[in-house]
Amino acid sequence: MGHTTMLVLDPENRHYDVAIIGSGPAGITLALRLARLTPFRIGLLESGLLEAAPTVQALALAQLDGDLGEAYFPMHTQRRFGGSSTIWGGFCAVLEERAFLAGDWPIPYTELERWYPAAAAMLELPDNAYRRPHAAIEGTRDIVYKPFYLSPPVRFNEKYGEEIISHPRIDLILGHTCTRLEHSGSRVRSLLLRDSLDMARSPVRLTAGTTVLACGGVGNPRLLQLSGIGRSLPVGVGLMEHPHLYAVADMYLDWGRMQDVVDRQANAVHALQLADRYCVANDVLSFSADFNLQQLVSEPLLGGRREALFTPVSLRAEIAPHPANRVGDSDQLNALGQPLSRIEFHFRFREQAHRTWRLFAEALLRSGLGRPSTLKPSFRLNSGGHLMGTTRMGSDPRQSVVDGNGRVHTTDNLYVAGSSVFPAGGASNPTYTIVALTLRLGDHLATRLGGNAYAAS
Amino acid sequence: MRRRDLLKGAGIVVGLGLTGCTRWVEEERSVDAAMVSLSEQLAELADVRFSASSQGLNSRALYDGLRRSGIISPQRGIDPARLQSLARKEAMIQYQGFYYSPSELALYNLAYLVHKPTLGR
Ligand SMILES: Cc1cc2nc3c(=O)[nH]c(=O)nc-3n(C[C@H](O)[C@H](O)[C@H](O)COP(=O)(O)OP(=O)(O)OC[C@H]3O[C@@H](n4cnc5c(N)ncnc54)[C@H](O)[C@@H]3O)c2cc1C
Repeated sequence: MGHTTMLVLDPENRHYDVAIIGSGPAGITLALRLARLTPFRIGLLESGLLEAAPTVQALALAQLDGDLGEAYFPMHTQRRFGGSSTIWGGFCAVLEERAFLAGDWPIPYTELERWYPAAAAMLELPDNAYRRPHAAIEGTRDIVYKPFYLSPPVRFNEKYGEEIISHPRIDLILGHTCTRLEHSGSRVRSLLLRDSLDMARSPVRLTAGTTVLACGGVGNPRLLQLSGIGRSLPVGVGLMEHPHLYAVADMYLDWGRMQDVVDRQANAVHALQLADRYCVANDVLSFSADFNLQQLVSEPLLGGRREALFTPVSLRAEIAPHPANRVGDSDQLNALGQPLSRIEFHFRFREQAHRTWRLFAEALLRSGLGRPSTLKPSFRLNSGGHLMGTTRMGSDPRQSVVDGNGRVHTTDNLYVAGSSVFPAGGASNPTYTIVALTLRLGDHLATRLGGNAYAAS
Repeated sequence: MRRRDLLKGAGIVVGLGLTGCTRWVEEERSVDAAMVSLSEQLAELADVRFSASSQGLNSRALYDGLRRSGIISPQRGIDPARLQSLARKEAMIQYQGFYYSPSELALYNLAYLVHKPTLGR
């Protein structure tokens, strides 16, 4: 059965110090980090193969209720080595500090920030992606310049595949879907795996000292739910996405004030944001307004003719976690005989879009930095392919699933990596932050399991 | 009045160009070079896009209002800082799909009314 297990043909009864389930950006980052820091034996398990296979992809089908279009699944959850990095767009920006200032995260922002340089290196981002992730604009404290830096985009399978495959202490187990974490007390005892293509084959078991879920924003809560872990926790609750509103307004921007701020050297999409403190003071969530540099015109601004950019504006926004947005069981079964995910999700963003745009428009106009148009009266809400918040991080087990280190509250040796741990999703694309948080998790595990000897310098 | 000032005054009348404005512009005749610069500043701002918003408005009343609120002065021309500080207190208004502060729009209306005859030539 060469097709199912390319590198570890038979994972049955293997034991690992750390088993990582899922080989997207989170899983690959963690495996490499642990392999570099520690002598641990690592098992990297992946439901898919090196290439996309429709039968395996179908395992990510979901029953949908709400705003995500029919084509959303399984397309947005790629089941193959590299996960959705095989199709991602490469937009990267640091997560906004807003939610940290508002107390939504249980860790200080500096805990995340210090991992961005290493994450930028993994994603091949320019240094400005962490040195100057946003810049103040003369004459206003309400609005900042915060571009999206573009990763080439790094395909994790292509860039890191060889290192993973040839590493003596990483076993890559492809074509096996973890269907259940067997647990007793507060520990995971073993992992039950099914062959993703040959579904008639009997399940196999492997064991690990520590298990990390890196199965994506839907895969992570599903595996907990299917395993009956964390029944007392809000597993699957509070799913977030990023609404994208394309060309939904126009604006003029005073080029005289923008030209020294805009990073023209970098491969970036330029954007303005309401400053984090301004958002907190006005009780509004983060959002980002893209602009382009194509058209310079003359525009009256603040009582003078100015050279101004005239640009369409696209918005990318944060939505609050809503308890009715959730991942749970469908009454339909997948090919492995397990209930499909049922995903209920509504953006609930239209009113917020108008309110936030108005605040942004006020800040822009009052600073004299530019002139915004009104928001189009009707617009389409597009999704970003960013699934977040379904195993949220927090210190209160009634409100969260994992603690500040990513450990499942109820289970000592079980961790979660990926955007499912975000308690607030900001307005920035998640992968840069996923990689940063996963590097942090790698250090935590190295220290916790191996002692200070393995802590990163 | 010195000849130089007279010439400047004449320049203003030509610059403002409207017979309806002549009388209040005449009042400013004694004012020196900055007045010319106000006229020039208004000329720069004049834009046909403000024909609809300025319809039915009286240029003299606009001028007086903007002077009273410190946005324009014959001595200093247009004061952008004053415009900005007022904008912080004023509710935005919409015009032709864009947001303006009321004071800013009043200024552009004045500019249009005063320089209407010279636009589009
Ligand atoms: C079209 C598109 C464009 C995007 N563009 C951007 C962008 O520009 N910027 C950005 O930041 N983000 C972008 N994203 C999001 C980005 O792809 C994800 O944030 C990122 O891939 C998440 O990484 P992850 O490792 O957490 O999960 P994933 O990449 O989803 O990887 C999860 C892996 O787990 C495996 N798996 C799942 N369940 C199991 C199981 N039970 N057993 C074994 N294996 C399992 C899957 O097969 C998969 O390989 C985009 C996404 C899409 C779909």
